[in-house]
Amino acid sequence: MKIYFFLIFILSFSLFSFQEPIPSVDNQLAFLFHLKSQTAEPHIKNKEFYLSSLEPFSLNRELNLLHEGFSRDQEKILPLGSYLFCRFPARYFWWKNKMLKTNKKLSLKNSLDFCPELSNFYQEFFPENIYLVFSSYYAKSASSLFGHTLLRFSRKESRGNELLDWGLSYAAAMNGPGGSTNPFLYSWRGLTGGMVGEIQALPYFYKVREYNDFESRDLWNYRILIDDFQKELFMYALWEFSPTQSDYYYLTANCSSIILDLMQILFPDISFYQKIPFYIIPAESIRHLADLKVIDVHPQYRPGALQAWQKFYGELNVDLKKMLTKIINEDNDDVLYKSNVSKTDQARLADALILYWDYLFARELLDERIVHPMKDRRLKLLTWRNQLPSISRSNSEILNEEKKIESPHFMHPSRRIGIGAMDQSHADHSVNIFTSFKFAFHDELDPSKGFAPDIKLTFIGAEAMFNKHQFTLLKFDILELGSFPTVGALLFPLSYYFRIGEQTFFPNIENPTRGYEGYGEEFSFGQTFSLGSFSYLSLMLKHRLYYIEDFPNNHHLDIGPEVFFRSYFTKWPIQLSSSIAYLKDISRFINSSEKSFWWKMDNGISWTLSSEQSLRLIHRNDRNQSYVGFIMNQYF
Amino acid sequence: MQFLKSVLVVVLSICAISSAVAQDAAAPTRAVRGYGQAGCGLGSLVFGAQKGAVQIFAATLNGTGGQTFGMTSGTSNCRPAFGRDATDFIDANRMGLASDIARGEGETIVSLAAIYKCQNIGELSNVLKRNYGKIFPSSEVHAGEINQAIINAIKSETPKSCDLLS
Repeated sequence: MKIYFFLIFILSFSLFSFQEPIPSVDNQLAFLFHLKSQTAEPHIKNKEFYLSSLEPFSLNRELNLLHEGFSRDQEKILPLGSYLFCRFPARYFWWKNKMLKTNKKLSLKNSLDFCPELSNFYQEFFPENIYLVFSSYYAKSASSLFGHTLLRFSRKESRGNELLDWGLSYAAAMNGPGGSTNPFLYSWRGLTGGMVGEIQALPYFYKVREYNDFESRDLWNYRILIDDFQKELFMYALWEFSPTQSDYYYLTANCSSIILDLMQILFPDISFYQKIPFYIIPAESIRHLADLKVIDVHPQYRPGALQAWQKFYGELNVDLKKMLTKIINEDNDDVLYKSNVSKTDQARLADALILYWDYLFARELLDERIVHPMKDRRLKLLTWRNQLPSISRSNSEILNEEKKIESPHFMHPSRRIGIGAMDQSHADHSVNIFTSFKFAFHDELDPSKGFAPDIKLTFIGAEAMFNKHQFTLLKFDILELGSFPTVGALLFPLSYYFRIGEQTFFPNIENPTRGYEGYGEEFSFGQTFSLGSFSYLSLMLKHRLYYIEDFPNNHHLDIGPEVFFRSYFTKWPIQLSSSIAYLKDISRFINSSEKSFWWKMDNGISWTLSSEQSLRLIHRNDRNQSYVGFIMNQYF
Repeated sequence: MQFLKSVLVVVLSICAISSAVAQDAAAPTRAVRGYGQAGCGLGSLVFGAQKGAVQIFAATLNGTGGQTFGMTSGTSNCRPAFGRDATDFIDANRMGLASDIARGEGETIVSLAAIYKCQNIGELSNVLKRNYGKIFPSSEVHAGEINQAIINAIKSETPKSCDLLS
């Protein structure tokens, strides 16, 4: 009899094993595999990220294997660190909480004792808060045009001092497989997935030095609004992903997309990817997360070296500015050392000079491999400064109103499509439908909130007009980039504008609607001056060079001065822009009897109707072409 | 009856054994990866290939100008944790530290106070300011020497003010 009971007991146990219910696939499980939906294709190719090597990928198959493995983890005693949940704690977290079948959330911190490596990681990295950090656009590098996003994990030991926090960044490994220091190669490979990306953890002070000091980029810190349960899951998801090397794609699998993937796990009921296009721009990810209310829209702002210098200089009185100008113009520090101003003013001047040098000579001063006389000069000044009183100065800034509107979460969506009407005054005022499209990103007539005023960037854009007789592509931008930093605070930075693409010309007065397509580039350089709050004037020298297939000369080269004015009104949502150039036709584009100088004008005013719509009025004049029109733009 | 009992015993035994075997039998066919450690990823605190401030520039000095977005030189080397030794911090922040000590206040001094576990930041600032010449005797001084000079100054003037140095 006893044996029957024993066998029944064994049978019941094995039947229980067969009947243990497998949780059903849901969105969160899909997100744990970095899938955008339950039916999406996986983009992580690394086999270590999955349990099964069979193809094609099946979420159900993975779930079955996870269920088996985690069930076995419950039943068997294995060497520490050998449990499946040590490798996939986020999936285990999901599975365990699903198995509970209650609304109560179960923490798995007690299970960490079985996983020494995971436990060390958890203890070292578990943050007080997690911040999404945006470093601003960097016009000196093509790969940094759209900014960068990374994470900051605040540590209790930091005592509120962010330098001692952890910075986590996903990026392409330049010395990994496919990596290269050649800018053309890594640009190409970055676009085509020819390099691997990986997560790197560094003390946050390294990232501050890199972005703030060396590249003079501002840092915007947005606290992610999650509770301790979500933080725990985030840690596990990070652990699962961290040894993975996945293909890095500049547009679609970049720093922001990985962060979005990780955050999506925490918010399974919100679809992060519903409104985001297939590519992800870092600043746009900030805006998107702000719209979803998963980040705190009162960011901490950390100015770059240039901003810190400009602010400090702006706070000096007139006399100190004059003295500082003299010291810098004469390149003579003795003017300061022998000055008879008060000790406090001497301290201010010394601090100003240090900030100025730190910005201007960032590379020479930061790189310990470089021997440069500025290092000794700086030390001498600081040794002298050491004798003077302290003046309180904070590295973190409370955002003033002027800077607040540049907060990246305010930016408009990157894509733009528009439709309107245009009157061609050079063609008997024929009226055409006018359309435009832009893949990304921002120009001077787009809503100004969320952007620094000195940058202009178009990546794939087009304008066209048509009527019942004709369709004309007016222009096609492959890339249009303008950087217009203002002269001031003893700095004279170069402004430049560059465009490559197609442009249609209408040189023939007898047939003004006959367009000639030209392919080429434009380049301007000069300097920009601030005229007061949010108004800027750029004085540039411009040239255009286009190859025009159907036209006698086959090329069009003109050159001349250009004045570019733009203004933003913070009280009203209006942007103004006017560009006037006086160009000489070097190539004798049309026959020699025509005058070879002419005015080229490009004027516009736009009214921001909402964060996603604007109305633009334009006027253009280029030799024989003259347009007036309006266009209604939708950003998406 | 005896026969039926025997059959029942055999059937139940087969069921029991099969359930145990089924899980193991599945293992070879599912091509499951080994379990265990995640390897030298975040679990071992990834740093760049070179220690110190130089690694900032490995990411930024390649090619023309500087490229940072999306490009790092870091590989998954396993390095010891930071924060238990101020040398790395001093190495990367020497410029800011030199400025802050000369000025008598600043973020890097607050950070050092956290690393050394000093209670009074004002007192630390004063000690460092008084010893500026010893801490930064030249522009070529190494981070280790700066760290030692700072430790010496603290121990000499306020020996009990920082828990890590007491």
